[in-house]
Parts: sequence; C-alpha cells; structure tokens
Amino acid sequence: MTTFPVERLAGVFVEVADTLVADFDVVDFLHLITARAAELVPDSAVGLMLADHQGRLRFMGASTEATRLLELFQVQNDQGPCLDCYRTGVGVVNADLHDDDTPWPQFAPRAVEAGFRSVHAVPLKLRSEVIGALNVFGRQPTRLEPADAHIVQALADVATIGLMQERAIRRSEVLAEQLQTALNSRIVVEQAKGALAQMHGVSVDDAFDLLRSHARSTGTRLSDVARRVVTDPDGVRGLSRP
Amino acid sequence: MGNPVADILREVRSEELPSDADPSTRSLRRLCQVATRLVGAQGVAVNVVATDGAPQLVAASDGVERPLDGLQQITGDGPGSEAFGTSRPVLVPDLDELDPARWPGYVAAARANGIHAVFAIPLQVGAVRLGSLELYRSAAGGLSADELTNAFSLADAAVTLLLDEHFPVEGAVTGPPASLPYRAEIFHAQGMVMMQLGVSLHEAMLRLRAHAFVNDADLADVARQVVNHQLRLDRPDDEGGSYDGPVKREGGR
Repeated sequence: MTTFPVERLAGVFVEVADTLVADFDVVDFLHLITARAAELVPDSAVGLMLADHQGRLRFMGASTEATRLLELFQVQNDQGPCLDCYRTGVGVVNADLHDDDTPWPQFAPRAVEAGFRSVHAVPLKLRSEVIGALNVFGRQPTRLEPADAHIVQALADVATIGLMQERAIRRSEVLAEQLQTALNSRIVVEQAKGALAQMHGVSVDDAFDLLRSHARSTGTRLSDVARRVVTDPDGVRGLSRP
Repeated sequence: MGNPVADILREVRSEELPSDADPSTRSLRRLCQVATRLVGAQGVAVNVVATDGAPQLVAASDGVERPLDGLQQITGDGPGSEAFGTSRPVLVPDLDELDPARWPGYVAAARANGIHAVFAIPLQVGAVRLGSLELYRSAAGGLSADELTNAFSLADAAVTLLLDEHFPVEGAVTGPPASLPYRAEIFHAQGMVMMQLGVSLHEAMLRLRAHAFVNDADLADVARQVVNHQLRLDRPDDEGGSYDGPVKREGGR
C-alpha cells in the first residue's frame, strides 16, 4: 500500500489531467508535476530533466528552482542518479547519499551538502525510448515503499504524456521536435527570469514565482509571458513585485 | 558519446569551397554543403534575420536556386519563415500532401524547382531568433531519426557560426567556434544585461559574448559575475578595466 494520502493522490491526478487541455504550456505543466511529486513525497525536492538531440540531459523544471543547481551539477560531472536512470531506463529507488559505496562519489557529497539524505530517479519513457528522468531528493532517511515508487513513476509517465500531447504525436520525428521546442521554451523562461530579477531587484528564483503568478492571474501561458518579458519588457512593467 | 555539434564545426572548417565564395558567409556555405550529406538533402540554405523581419537567404549549398528563396522573401511565406515565426521546426515530408492554402506562393515555386520535401529548423537561443535552416529534398519522404538529430545539431552549429562570424564583435578576431553552452546563468545574465543596458535580448547576448571575448574570459564566468552583481556591462569593469565599450543609460530598476 502506498504511504501517500489517498485523497491527496486522487486530487493530484485530477489536477494534472485537468491541466492537459488544449493549448496548455509544457514548461508550466512539467513544473506542476515536480511540485506535486514534491508534495506527495514527504520533505523532498523534485527535478525533471529532458534529453536533447545530443543525448545530454537538460534541466526542464523543479519543485523549487534552487534544486536546479544540483541537477546541473549532476550533468556537469557526468554522474548521478538521473543520468544512470536515463542511460539504463531503469529507476533508481532509495539510494542512500551517505553510503560509503555510493556510485556517485562527486555527486553524493554535494547533495548531502544541500541537505539531502536519499535520492530516487524514475525514467520518462515513450515506448522503448527514454527521453528524460524525474529526480526526487529526500531530506529524511525515510524510504519510498514500492507502491510509492510506482506512483512517482506514474507521475513521470503523465509528464511524458503531457509532453507528447501538447502536439499529437504520430511519428517519432515529432517527438524530437517537441523535445527541442520544450527545451527552447525553458531557455526563454530562464532569460525572462534574468530580466525580471533585474527589473524588480529580486533573485532569479523569485523571478520565476513572479512569472508564474502573473501567468495565472492573467490566464496567459507561462511561456508566452516569459517571451513577452524579454521581447517587450515595457509592456509588462505592471508585472507586480512579490 | 561524442559531441556532434563540435564534430560538425570541425568538418565545416575542413570543407573545400570554390574560391569565389563570399568570405563573410563562407563558413555557413560550408555548413550547408556538409548538411546535404548529413541529412540526405539535395539543397540546404541558411536564412538570417538581420533586424525584425522575414529571414533572408545568406548562404546555401550547391543545388539551391536563389529565385525560390527570392520568392519566399516576397511572399513572406514558406517553411523557413514559419519555423522562424513559430520558433518550432517545420517538417513537410511531402509537399503534395500539404494544405495548398498554407504557403500558396511557395509550393508552386518549390515544385517548379523539383522540390518534394522540405524541412526547416529555427535558429534561436531561447527568445533570440536568428533565422532558420532549410533542407530540401527532390523526393518525398521524412527525415529518419538520425537525420533529424543531425538537422538539430546542424542548427546548433549554424547558430554558433552566426554568433561568431555573422555578428562579429568589434575588434574581435574569430576564435575557434565552440558549441553553445547550456547554462542557466548565461540565460539569466542575458535577461539582466538586457534590462541594465536597455537593449534587446539579442544585443544583450552579443554584449556578453563581446565582454567575455575582449577580457579573454569564459562566458559562463562572466554570466555568473553578472548574476551575482559583481559585474555590470554598463560600468567599467572593476577588476580588469579593459572593457571600454559604449556606456549606455542605466536601465532596469
């Protein structure tokens, strides 16, 4: 049995499914997946990486934007649970970061330094192809039960479905096209975070919250708000401070 | 796994070209030649947008008829313009199956030139849109997974060449092109510099690259200094002091 609260679980999947309407925003959607996964796994942070056309993992979203530092570290050092998961297509569950025999001697101490005790990674898979991975960092030594791990995998599956559904996927070439477009949208969001941070004198992490709340309150797609911030900053001066 | 973009750039530099090729676009022309092999296309072209507007043909492989792209410039429609405008790849494996209303002027011209399939990849860095890479085939048929992957790598290589050569930095000698780094700090710094200098995101990106080049610094390091408020490009650099670019009005806050 899962240790996750059942009512909350149902709510999460309903909310996620509800987001998959026409013209949803893929960056915002993947952020939602990570945020909800982080709520389900007690005291955790969650990040999502997608592979680009060179087979490199790139950051796509996280429950807290600060997790990205760790994600990027992982990629830069060519090691870590997300990479293992992406390469093998097999999930990594309940890896102890304090383990002396850790398979990631560079990654594990950094994760511990950031306050994490355990790590899990599940693949984003479309048929036989692995397109990325979802990474869960736990601050407590508690273990994920097998049923819990299945639910985290289910959220990763929904993330894949969302990626594919933004445009109906009929051919594999459209998958690659969709990934490229999603990754570029994430760059636009990063550029907008920098512009907003400068505009309002806030951190780039807080700038992401500004972007999201503005998108919510105006019923605009996150990527569209981000694009407007960097192409017409005067047009979004009203974007309120936190 | 190797680095396909670096491999392409290496191959581009070793490609032979007729001596009459325009020096300013020689590398891009070579890239187009290399591309014909990597994606199995009979023609490849790079379109670039100098300012806001429709992309213009700046380089092409052998086998690309200039009148076709001239037509695209006049009618404003076509795969290159669409990829540029939507920031998405445009993949048309069979022009005969295309909705005739999509690019009415273009399709007729393409057919007249013996083109049956066309693919266009946007050349962009986030919201900075530079142009598009177009691939033409004389027979209908989709790109294989490998060919599409190559097309994306070629687009990355074209962006690198464009930034290094087509938008040259004043006083800068073209160094060996490196493939684009993917670092969040670099994108954050682009947005911050845009607001600090009151310039476009495109120009902010070029300014950051120029600063890194002039100071012989790593772009990621320069970006990190900007993000950490240790460096502003509109003020003389406290440490090196070697950047003497134009000082612009203080934007932002």
